[in-house]
Amino acid sequence: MEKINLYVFGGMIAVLMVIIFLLPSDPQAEVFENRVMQTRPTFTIESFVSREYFYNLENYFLDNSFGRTTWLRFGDIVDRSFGVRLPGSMMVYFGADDLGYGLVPTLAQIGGLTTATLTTGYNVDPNLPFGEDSNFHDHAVFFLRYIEDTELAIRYAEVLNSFRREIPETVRMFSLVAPVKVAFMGERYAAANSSQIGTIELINSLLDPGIIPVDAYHALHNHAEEYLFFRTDHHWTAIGAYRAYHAFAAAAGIEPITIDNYLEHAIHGFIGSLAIGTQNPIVLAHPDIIYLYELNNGTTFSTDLFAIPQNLAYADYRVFLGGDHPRIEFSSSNQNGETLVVVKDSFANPLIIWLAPNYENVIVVDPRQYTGSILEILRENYNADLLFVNYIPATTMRELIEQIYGGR
Amino acid sequence: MVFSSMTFLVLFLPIFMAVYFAVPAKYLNVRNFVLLISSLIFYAAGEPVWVVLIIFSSAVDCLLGILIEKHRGKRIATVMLVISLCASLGLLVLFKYSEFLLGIIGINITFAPALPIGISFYTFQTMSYIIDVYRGRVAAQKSPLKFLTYVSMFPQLVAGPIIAYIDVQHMLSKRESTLAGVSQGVTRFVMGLGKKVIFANHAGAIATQLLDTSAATSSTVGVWLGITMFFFQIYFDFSGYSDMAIGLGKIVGFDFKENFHYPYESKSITDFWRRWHISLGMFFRNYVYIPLGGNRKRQLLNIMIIWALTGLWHGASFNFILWGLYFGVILVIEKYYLKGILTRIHAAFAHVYVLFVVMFGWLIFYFTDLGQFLAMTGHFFGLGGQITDHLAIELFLANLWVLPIFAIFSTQIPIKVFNYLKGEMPVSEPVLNFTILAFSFMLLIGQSFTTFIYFRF
Repeated sequence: MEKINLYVFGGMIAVLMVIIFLLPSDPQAEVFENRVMQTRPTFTIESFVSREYFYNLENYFLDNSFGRTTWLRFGDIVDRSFGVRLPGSMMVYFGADDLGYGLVPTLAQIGGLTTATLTTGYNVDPNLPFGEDSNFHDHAVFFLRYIEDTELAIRYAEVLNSFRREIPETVRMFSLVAPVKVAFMGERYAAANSSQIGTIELINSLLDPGIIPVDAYHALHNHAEEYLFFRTDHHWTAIGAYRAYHAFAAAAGIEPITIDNYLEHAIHGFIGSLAIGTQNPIVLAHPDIIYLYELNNGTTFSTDLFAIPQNLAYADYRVFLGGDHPRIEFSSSNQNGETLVVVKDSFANPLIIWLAPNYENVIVVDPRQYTGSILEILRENYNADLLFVNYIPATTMRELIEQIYGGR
Repeated sequence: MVFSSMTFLVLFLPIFMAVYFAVPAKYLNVRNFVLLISSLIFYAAGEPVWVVLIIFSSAVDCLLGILIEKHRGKRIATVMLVISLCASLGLLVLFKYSEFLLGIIGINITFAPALPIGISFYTFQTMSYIIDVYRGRVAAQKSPLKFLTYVSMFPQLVAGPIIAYIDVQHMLSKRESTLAGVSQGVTRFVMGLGKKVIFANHAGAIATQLLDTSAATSSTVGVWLGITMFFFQIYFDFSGYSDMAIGLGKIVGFDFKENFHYPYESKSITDFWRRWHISLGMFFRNYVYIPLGGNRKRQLLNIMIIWALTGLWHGASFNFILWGLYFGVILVIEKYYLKGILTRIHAAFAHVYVLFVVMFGWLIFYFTDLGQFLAMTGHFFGLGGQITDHLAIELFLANLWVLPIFAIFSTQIPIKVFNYLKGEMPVSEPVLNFTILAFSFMLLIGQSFTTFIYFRF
């Protein structure tokens, strides 16, 4: 029997090796998880010493395993059986809450990239069940939990102040802390979360007088009935970003270009970061719509502001500016000589698209990836507007805050 | 590299076993060499820079061991011992405690290099060796190959158990991998993998949701459920890792001592600490407590020193010291006041007492932030102003059936059932292994990557 035991063990390891090494990877995985899968890492001394090589190798094995989506579904079933909802700070609630987000069209209604007439935001399909008596899964609500960290919020303000002290006085500096969805979801959810406006006001109160706060929170709050945030993703929509753009315009004293100067496009079928983990079939049947707004007043840009994949099923939040890059630089045909420098996380991506036509030059820096000096950029562009954009959970992330500080 | 990673299961382990067993058993030195090189690769995958440290530190201790033996009984041997211990403790202090100690005297620096994985384990092994050579309990190991193999052996390198040299010295020169031994090792490894992947990860996911949260939104039910889940997570995680280490050791012919003996079955805290992380307790008993005078003089002080050190070993933070001292105080109280009572009362009451004390201990252990700890302690004792919250109730109801399963698998019942089945139907062993492996592999691919808790220490 001992031999059989060893054969079973050896056989199972061999099966695992076949799944990982020999069988083709799951073509559905990329769509299923809504992200790019890890490619085979190249061994270099540098990648080995930085521990990246083995880290990426592990992810490569997992990402490219045969039947990955099946294993993920299995893991999800087990997670549910164990009462686990979602890891980390993500939470998912299934409840009969409407919350004003409504239901978006089903996959069956996916029409690809369509040019639609201007709408106020989201669509509600009248054919779907709705209300207290309906199947509770139809009202799946996803949101990022926000738990404040006062010490780090203070540090965030200090880091911004350190920039103010070192950049040329001629640079106008702005701080926009983007709220996340749960702030606008009503009392029931407020109890399980910290006050976002509390943190934003704390940060603003600590900012150097030379930094102008941008009140995106109230700009969104005043339009809480709109499709400001994706239901299934942790980001805001282009409409959420549009409201924040108005808040910036008010703070910067510029005339915002209104939405009626834009053509609206819609990409259906987007399942965002928060819902991917659930793989709930009803959630999958009620995806978000990504609305894109294309400027229609003759202004042109030196780069495409939208990155639309050929297969629209792959479209995700990265359609805005093509996702996060260490540094992006582009110009518009608006030759007013103004430059905007944005130091940001991914929340800024749709916002920059609204901001861009107001400036001749736009420089976008992501301190999580950029290895150059942000101060140097400001020295070269000493008349620029400098805007810091981070979503509010960033003010609880020590590593990220120090990355911003280190990016000076 | 962790045992529950794909890199280990589909790459490292098959290659290692193929090469190791390709070497005929009579060439044990060659097998040792294969084990050594594999261990260094295993370590370097996670610690590419500090692998140098383990080689250097082992080389120094190997040399000092030989010199101590040569001059045993003379003052020079004591000097060598002190040098070796200072070097080992110096490394630990440098990497693990320097920020903490400087912080106490008001100097705040950020010490860039992260704590090298496993340093708390392998420095204790080399110290046990040097002290035993000095005392004449073991002969110095003359072969650097064998010594480095002992220190760096991958099954127990990164998260224990702490193997005293005296317990494996003969196996470095003479051991065999029998069919029965390899089979037992495989079963033990598989059981450990299951504990980690099936139980610990899930308990951990729920504990995190309930404990890594604002005290303002938490509640008594939330903290109790969270800490109960952590109670199971840390046991399944750490004892699962020890099972895998012992199993892998067995496959290559080593018999490591047990590190856990169903600690949650204990009827007193004294009993608990004889069953939890046994190798650490033995180290402190043999190499600190007894040399300090043990039971013979200043016993109370000795107990408190040992427990402060036990706490400190777990991390450079006040909560770990507090956790150690908390158990020190409980053990003293048990020794002088509770011992008789605990043996007289019904076993069920003794169990409840142990579970409560241990549970509160994990609460101290979990929170490194004092403010958060105090706030959560308020909830723990029902003084937080909120008895229950939405999330806690939801998770409690979802886990009603899970908690008894975790509880049963923390006891000897499953292993007794398994041994009975194995006796009646031998095929149940491979069937069980197949089931656990299939389940674990599917979960491993279908879960995000997780590391073991004890890698932090």
